[in-house]
Amino acid sequence: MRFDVFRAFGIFGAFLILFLLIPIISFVMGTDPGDVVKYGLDDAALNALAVGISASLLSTIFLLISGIPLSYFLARREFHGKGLLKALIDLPLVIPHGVAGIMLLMAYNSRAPIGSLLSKAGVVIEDGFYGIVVAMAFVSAPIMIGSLVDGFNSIDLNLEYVARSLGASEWRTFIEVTLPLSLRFIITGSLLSWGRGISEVGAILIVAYYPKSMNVLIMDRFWTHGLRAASATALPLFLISIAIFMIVRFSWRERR
Amino acid sequence: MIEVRNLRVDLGDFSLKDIDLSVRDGEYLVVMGPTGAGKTLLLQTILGFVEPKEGKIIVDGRDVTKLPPEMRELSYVPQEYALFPHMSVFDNIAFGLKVRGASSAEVRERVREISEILRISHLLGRKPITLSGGEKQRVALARALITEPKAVLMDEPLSAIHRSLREELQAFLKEIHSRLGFTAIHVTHDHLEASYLGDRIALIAGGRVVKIGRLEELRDDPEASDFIGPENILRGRAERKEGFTIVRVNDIEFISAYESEGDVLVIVRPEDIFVHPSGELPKVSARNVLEARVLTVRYRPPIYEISLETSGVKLRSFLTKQALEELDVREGRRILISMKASALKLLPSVRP
Repeated sequence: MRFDVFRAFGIFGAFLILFLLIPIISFVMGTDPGDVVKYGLDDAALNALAVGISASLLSTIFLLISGIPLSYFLARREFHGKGLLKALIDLPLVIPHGVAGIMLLMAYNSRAPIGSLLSKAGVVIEDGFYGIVVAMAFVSAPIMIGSLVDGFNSIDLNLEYVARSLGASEWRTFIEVTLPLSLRFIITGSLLSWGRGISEVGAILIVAYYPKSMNVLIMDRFWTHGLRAASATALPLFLISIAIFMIVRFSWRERR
Repeated sequence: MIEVRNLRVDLGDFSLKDIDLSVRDGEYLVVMGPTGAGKTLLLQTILGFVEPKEGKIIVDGRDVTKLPPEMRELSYVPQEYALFPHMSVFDNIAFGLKVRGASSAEVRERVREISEILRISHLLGRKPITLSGGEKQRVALARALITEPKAVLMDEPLSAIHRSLREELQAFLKEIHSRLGFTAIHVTHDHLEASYLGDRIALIAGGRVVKIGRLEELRDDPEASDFIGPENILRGRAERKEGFTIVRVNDIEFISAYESEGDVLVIVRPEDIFVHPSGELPKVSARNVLEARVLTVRYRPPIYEISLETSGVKLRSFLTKQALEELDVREGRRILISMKASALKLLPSVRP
């Protein structure tokens, strides 16, 4: 038997897959269903689940609405400092999450200039639902924007040119040609930034410990009740996340 | 009528300079040049996607230089056609009408009409990804023509097509053009395509228009010959007779082994024109034997190029130094030339 590169790499690769898979299996198998009913589905857990899911949904919607114009601009226009701007957008990927939380708190707390304006409109960051949304949006923004820019870049410019030459305005071309053709990237970007949002904990701990979102509650339970309670609390969120990920991912693969 | 006046466009290191062109109503202008000559940039500037540094673009007397593309009434058929992949063929064709707010009854009627002319009625329900190259070309053309634009601008519309189909599609383009009479600017690097389709040809290189004129004018122009290549390209009318094709060019009847009918290009390579000593009929099987007068003899290392004239038709042939001396070919002399029927390629045609 020849021991070629691919055979060797295949064996190494199998270790990595096992490394990734074993925790998931032991988590699902090792969690007691009785505990799930007790810890994972009590009022506190269901509330935290609702907070986490709705906050990450809102953060994703916010990023879509604000990210589409910015990403289209970045994809279609050349200007001085574009590279710098793109690096700036990617910065949240390398800022430690706790630090990101501190930054957000300093910038947008209700005594700071912008925060005070926001709080007048009922949007309070510190220990408020919107604090969770802001923390999630901050850490997922690079993922959403990266995905959208890739999407817009993937479109043949001639498609937009033809639409324009046939009499469609820039707006109409964007809505009828550009947007539908980048739908796959919009979906992927939304999914990834939703996932990134719901998995965030560091920034949320600092900006908005309350209302307790799922990740905060899991940490809380780990410290006060131990690993068993923590894993039971986490299982429903884990299953919901996996389900959404699978549904979106595979329904899109089929349609292509 | 499209006029381009004194146009200058800068794009990075490349510039289009001093471009002056005019395209008459119903005229088919071919812009020909090598890769990197600035052909696509010129089209995109006329269409309004690139802003010129200087100069004007005038469409039917209206200065459109500052207008956005959607206000210019110029349709675009890009290379590879850029059919909207998320729309059906019907919706692709209907796009320009829908944008203009046409009623759905009108859209249906006009799509039906143009689809019949372009013979794509059976494709209307399909998605572009399922179409062949030729079908895509027709759909792109239908989409461009349905709005009745002031001109259709086509960028290498045949380069994505397999060689074997290209001639057929060239013929189709010519047929549709003569039927509908639209104004066209067609960009290509293929000199035969340019010769066949173009009412006039604009030769462009290094960002400048080198020459513009009818095929017959360009053929005699030494500056243009680098573009058109050494082949003899003549316009004629073909007719089938007893298994051969008779092509009439001016007063001469040529015989070709290629199968064709109607308006054709006759293409003869200079090395396929044989020169014989005058006075005696050559003992050759060639079908085409003609008397010709030598206009010029030029040394083009390593060979002599002689230009000939017979009944108003100019031809070019090559001779070696030895043949030139043996046959005593000199300017002003009358000589006999022969061409095999298989040496007269016709465009479009079926291979013999």
